Amino acid sequence: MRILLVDDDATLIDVLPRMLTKHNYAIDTATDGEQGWIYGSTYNYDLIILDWSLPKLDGISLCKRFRAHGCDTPILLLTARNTSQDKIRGLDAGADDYLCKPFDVEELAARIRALLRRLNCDFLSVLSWGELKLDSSNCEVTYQGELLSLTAKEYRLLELFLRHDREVLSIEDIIENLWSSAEYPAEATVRSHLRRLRQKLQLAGLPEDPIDTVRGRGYCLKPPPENNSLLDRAEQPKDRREKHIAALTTAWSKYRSKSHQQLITLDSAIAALKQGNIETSDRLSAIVTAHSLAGNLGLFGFDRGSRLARQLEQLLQGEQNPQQLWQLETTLQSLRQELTKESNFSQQISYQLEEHSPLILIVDDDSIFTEQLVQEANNLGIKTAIVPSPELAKIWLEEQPKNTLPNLVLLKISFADSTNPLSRWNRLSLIAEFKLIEPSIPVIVLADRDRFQDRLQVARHGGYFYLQHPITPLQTITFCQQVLRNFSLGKKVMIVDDDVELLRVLPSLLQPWGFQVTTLEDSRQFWDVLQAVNPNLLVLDIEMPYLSGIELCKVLRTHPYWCKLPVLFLSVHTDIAIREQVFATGADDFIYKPVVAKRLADRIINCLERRV
Amino acid sequence: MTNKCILLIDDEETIQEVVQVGIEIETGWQVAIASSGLEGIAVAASQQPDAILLDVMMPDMDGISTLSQLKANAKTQSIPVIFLTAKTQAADKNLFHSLGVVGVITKPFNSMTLASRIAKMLQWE
Repeated sequence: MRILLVDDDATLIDVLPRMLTKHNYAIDTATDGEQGWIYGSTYNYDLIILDWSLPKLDGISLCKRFRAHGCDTPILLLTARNTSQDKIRGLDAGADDYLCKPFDVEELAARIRALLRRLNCDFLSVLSWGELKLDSSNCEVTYQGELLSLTAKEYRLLELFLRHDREVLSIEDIIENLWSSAEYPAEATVRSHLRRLRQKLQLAGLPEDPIDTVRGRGYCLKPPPENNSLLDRAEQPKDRREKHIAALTTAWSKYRSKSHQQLITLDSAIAALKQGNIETSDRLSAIVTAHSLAGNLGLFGFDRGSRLARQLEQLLQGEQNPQQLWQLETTLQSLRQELTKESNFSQQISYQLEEHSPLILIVDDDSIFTEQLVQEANNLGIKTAIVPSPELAKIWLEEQPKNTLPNLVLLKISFADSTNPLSRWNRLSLIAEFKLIEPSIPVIVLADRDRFQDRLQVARHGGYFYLQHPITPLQTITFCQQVLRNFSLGKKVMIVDDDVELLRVLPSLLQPWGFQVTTLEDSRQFWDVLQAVNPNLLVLDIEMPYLSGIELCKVLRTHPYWCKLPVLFLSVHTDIAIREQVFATGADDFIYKPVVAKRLADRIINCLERRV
Repeated sequence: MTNKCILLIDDEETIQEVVQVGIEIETGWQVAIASSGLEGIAVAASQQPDAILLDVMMPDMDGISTLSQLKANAKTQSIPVIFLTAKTQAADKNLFHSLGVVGVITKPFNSMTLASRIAKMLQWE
């Protein structure tokens, strides 16, 4: 990560780069606005730090100039001015963040990390390649939980590859990113850093060299290896889902012609009814046909088709008057139309059949935009619900059973429209309300402008992220999908419990959330399995033979790497003393048995989110 | 829970196929199929499945008659039965439960979650 610092304060120019180098950033410095402009417009930086008062060209003008020339690098303003008006002026000039002098270097480092994360749309400070992890919040690199000792250059080289997953990086790219413009390393120097990094990774036990040499072009991170841990892994949920969908598709291809035949049967029955000359047996056969259609169409995800067939079944059983006949005809017509949607069958089935596919609640009154959002969400297998206003959102919420809460909320807020402050206030309070109902639901705000004050209000109310118009529906939904994935998909959850039946069923019950679940029955193997799996979260039973969950948790909390692992306890004990003891050992959460999958998943997501 | 065997008694081929592949893919349990009540009673007595999924609406012998015969037969009376039905009225469901089934699954059902619903009803988890 390469940063440009523009400041005329000699002490700061001396101290700050040294401090930031400890965080493994390469720093270029400029001491006046014009020099800052030359550096900033010549080299590519990941972040620019600007002082407000600068000789030749002040920070605000420089910031505006960068923005006017299409530079979208994050800019952080550093200044002694601390009034709200100053902050607003600074942010309106195009700065992304603002820090008043004097400041704490650690706070600056945290803000830099936050800005860089936003740049990468990467919410996690931990980057990984298989079991190799790089934690940018404390600059630690581990493989299977063991700490690696890397030099600052090796660390940054690895970070660069992890952040540019599968991109080919030339030697020039590497120099540009890792060295400041005052340094001119020879290509051989870069190669020797790279060689040493590869050696250290090999010594740490990586099964293969993660960096590929692309002849004549540079270097590139390979795709991570398949997880071939020694544990007996069951079939992955994703594979099972694909298999299931394939099987349903095959079944549908067989049933398809029969369903058309059934439509013809209904058609002729209704025609005979209209003529008033239907045989009782034909009518009964039509009822059975409608009944069968209702059951079968539902199996293949034609929910609406199934409901229509059910209506037909009821209509056929009722009295036949002209109105009923007309209803029968229109219902059959709708059913026929519903079945023409089968052309996109496998896509439809994958999202309609998956009751557990994630649900996004969209609170937005722009019907054209929301329609496009729904379309994009459908394409990605995400369910949506739309309400035009926060008031209706509250009604909608009250009507929802607890287990059908949305997994994410997308809320539009208009800050630019000053004529309706109440609407803005209602929308902001809706965020807080969601946080109260279920803290693990991320609320993403879609705003019409980007000002610090607005961001601050959203953050204070508990907003998870701030997206700004103009943004396309596809970008919005892709972003939401990324957030949903970051919350659960691929997160490794290890469950240690001596209840074998529970261990058998939990992986499939947690499947809809996309966790990678590893189960362990014998607590004596705990340490080896933990190192091999390197989970993101641990679920522990309290009472187990040999070693109790509390003992295991105590051991974890004494280890420099594992002390941060979120631990969730699972127990039949409702005793408050035991509960207190569990939290005293460093547990993050506690759930009573029997376990409900949805509740466990919510709590896992909650724990993971708090640790991010 | 991997070696369970479920008997499905349903006259609809499509339901037979979807239930069979759904359960087998999701859980690895075996699914035996019978297309009528009479065939179902014979298969249940000979194969002794761990549970029976029984369609209510079938030609010839319907699910309710099939259930009463299963309960009357010493070989099959202790096998838990789950009804598959399109009837969604509470009154119907109450009637079904009073007949001694362990659960009622309403059609259409989601084949992806069918197995976990069965497991819950039978307390196999």
